[in-house]
Amino acid sequence: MKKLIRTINTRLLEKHPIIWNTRLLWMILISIFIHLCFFTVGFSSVSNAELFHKRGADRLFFNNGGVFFGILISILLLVVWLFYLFKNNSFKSYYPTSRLQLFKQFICYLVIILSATAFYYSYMAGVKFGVSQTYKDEQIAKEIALTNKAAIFFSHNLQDYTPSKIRYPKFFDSLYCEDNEQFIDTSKSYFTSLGVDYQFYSLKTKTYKYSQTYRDSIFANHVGSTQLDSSMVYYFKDTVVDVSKHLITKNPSYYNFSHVFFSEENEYGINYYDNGSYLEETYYEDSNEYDDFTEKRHLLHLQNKQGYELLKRNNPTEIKQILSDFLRIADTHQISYNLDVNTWFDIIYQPDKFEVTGLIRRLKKDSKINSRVYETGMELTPFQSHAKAIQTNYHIETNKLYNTYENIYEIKDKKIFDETLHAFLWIAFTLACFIFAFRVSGLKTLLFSIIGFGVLWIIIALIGTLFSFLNTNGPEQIDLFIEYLCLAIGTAVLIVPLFFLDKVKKVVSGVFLNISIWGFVLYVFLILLIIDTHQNYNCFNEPGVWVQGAEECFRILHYLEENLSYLLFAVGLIFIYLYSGIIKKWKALPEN
Amino acid sequence: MSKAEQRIKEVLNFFHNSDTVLGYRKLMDCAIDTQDLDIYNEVITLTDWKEKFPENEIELVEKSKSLLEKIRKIPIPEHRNNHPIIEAENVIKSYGKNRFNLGPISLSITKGQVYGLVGENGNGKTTLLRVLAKELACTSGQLSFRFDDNTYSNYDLRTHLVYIPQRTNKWYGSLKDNLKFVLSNYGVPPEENETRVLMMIARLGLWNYKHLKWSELSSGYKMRFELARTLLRKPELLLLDEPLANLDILSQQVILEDLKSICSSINNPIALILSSQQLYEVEKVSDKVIYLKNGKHLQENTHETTSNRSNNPLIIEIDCNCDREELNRILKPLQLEKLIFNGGVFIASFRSETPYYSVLKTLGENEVEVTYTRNITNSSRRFFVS
Repeated sequence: MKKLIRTINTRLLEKHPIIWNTRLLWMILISIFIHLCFFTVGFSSVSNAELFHKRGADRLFFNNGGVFFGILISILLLVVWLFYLFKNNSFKSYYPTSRLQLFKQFICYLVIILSATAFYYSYMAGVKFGVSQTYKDEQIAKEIALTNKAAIFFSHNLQDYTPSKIRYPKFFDSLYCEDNEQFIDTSKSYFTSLGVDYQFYSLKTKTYKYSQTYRDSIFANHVGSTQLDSSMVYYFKDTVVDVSKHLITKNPSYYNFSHVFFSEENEYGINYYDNGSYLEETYYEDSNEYDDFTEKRHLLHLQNKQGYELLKRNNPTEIKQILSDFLRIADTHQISYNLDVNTWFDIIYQPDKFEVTGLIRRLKKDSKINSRVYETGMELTPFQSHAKAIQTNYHIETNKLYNTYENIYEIKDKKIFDETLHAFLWIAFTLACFIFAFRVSGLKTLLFSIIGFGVLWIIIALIGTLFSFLNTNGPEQIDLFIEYLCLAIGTAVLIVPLFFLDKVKKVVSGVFLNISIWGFVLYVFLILLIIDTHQNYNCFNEPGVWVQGAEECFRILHYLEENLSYLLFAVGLIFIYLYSGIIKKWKALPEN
Repeated sequence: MSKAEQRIKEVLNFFHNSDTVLGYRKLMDCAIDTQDLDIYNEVITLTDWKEKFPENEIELVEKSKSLLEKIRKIPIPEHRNNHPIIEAENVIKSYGKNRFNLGPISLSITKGQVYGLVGENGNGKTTLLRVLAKELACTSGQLSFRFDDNTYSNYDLRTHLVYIPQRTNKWYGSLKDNLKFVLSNYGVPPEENETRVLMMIARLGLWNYKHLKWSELSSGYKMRFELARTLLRKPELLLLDEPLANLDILSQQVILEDLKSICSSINNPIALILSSQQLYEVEKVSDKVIYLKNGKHLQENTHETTSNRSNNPLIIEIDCNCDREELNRILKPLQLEKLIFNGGVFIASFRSETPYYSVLKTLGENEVEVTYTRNITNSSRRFFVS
């Protein structure tokens, strides 16, 4: 092994001095090994189902300490690498080199830093692979279908079973139920159950085209909306409808249940689970729930229909089978519960009206959240009193199952190279720039450059602060002033190495050279920012445009979106390549 | 007889007179000039054998002679360009008003020549070398370079001239790897790298030290490795600042002889300017000695005779068992002009007509026990003692 390493090293030294000097091959090999370790850890972490009980398993790396371990290993790797890198420096010794060779060195630094820091991706790739192997698509789809079928009997939240939730038969699907007593028209048909008034309305719509001028009255008192490409449809209550003949019971009943436990297509929008604090929930339906109104109501309708037909069939064996199947799924995902099929069946089986006579907790009885709810000491409404009265000590932690499904889909849908890639790319680029600057200019110039860079920012901040005190023309003037000030200083810094390299002391031009290496990308970004700022102000000055939001105007930063990062990265690389010629010129300068 | 043949004859003479060590070094110079890797490999093998069997001198001489015969068969093109490689015209380096000023200095040197730079501490030797190496910008004057290879930029130019400061940087990692790194950066084909490095290691007498660490080397060997690295770069101009500092007297002589020999290569000569305090040794190998005093240039030719030189007073250093009065009395008849005791030795100045041998004869006739004497009439040493 030792002999092989020596042979490879000799070959690299003789044939590819840059790769030998930067230890590119060995660093990549070591990094690959560590990446494999992270992949394995990520893969094996999937076997612990409890990790999926909390939301955000796609951020597992950041939540379980993996990130600190990763950072520690990265720092260790980079320190050892720098120790070896600094052993030889051909540029310092004036060995022949070309612009391309200098650029290759920079690329080596970049690749090494990237490979030695981006362990997050291997870990997440391991998690993703583990999830795809452990939770097959068909199996999870089946489990979710079964869970949604059993969700009617979860009996967590009495509010889920009130008449306001009814979406089936078809008659109810096109109606809106008002249950806020402030908005009940008592002169018309309504009914009361457990102290809550219910009044059903038919719906009418108004369409607002984005090109129209904004008026508040357009969507005042709307109960829902649907966003289309060029317009927004708002739903409003129309006329009161008498539903008394169509309701099986006015009390909370399993027949009214339309809650979709989990939907792959629309994880967040259909329902919202307020963990544990259901007793305090307001009865006024937030109109936001009706965003994308039609599609959502349709899903709720289907869910209600499924439960309604099940209850109508009134087949105890079928119901027990559903409960049993669900508890099996709960076992698979290590979901905690304290009832068996028969106990559960006894709670929910209340033919013929199937009214809710017992509530099952979503959390264990001794859960801190539950106790908090009971300790509030608030005066309870009749509805809340009833809910409290029928609360049992049984629990099924369905929230955790929900989180599990959510996590599984999020991880499956997750792109390995997500938005964090930008962070890793820029960290690597910045570090590579620092190391490059040190290698080409030496420690003394580097230290002066760091101080110079800091002083520049202090100057900008001081002048900016002074201007903001003196300015009376509005905040946009301050923005533009600071942007143009940075542009002026940045241009001056760039010009010195380009045109006055031999006119100033070598150490001074070295400072400007280093600041140019670090700051060129910021300089390009600054130019784009100035263009964007002007576009933004022009956009706001156009009458009527702001209703749609400033994004509707063409703004270069919005147009480029995340491509901006890649674009600037490419600009940075091209700059380093072209600037290597200037670096060589600077290096050959005699000291004054 | 070509230069190459002449040199081979010299080497054979060395072997014939049992100057084996010197002969072997000169043999390696002949071998290096061939630029033939087969010859290099043979030298490497022979060096390895020589170091394993140091007592087997007769066999070494035989093997060396046989190798010389092979070298003789390889034609060596002679370097023909005799134009100055660097020309400095009235170069002045000023560190500011009322501070040290160097120059004006004018000089030119061609490849194959060795210039010594002498002067007391703080008189501008290092400054001059750094100006010539383009490490320091001169305040005024002209500095022009004419290398055999075209240089397209100042960076290219600095790859052709090498300046080694008195305190060199530490080497990290294997010594051999450091040397190989030079060649791979200079574009030497991978298959030649090892051979050329070993050849240079052998030439500079580093064979038994190549596996050591930098920290395990003495100052002298560190300087030798630094020279090896430098010579592998094939510089056209070499500027050495105090290369003899920290070396023992024998090492000084050997390293200077090596430098002289390597710089006067037949096909790859090097222009060498070196600064040193070892006047005698430097004068021995230098084509010209530049004496700096307070930054000013006093130029003395050591190997060229000028008409003015015959008019110079005879200056002699003497260390003996006499006191000043007695010595004054003994030397007075020889037109003694001045006798100074500098604490160590006497410096006696005579009129130009007095020959050196007459002084030696007089000292002998008066039975003076002389432990050291040297004629420094034409040596820059007189500037130090006067």
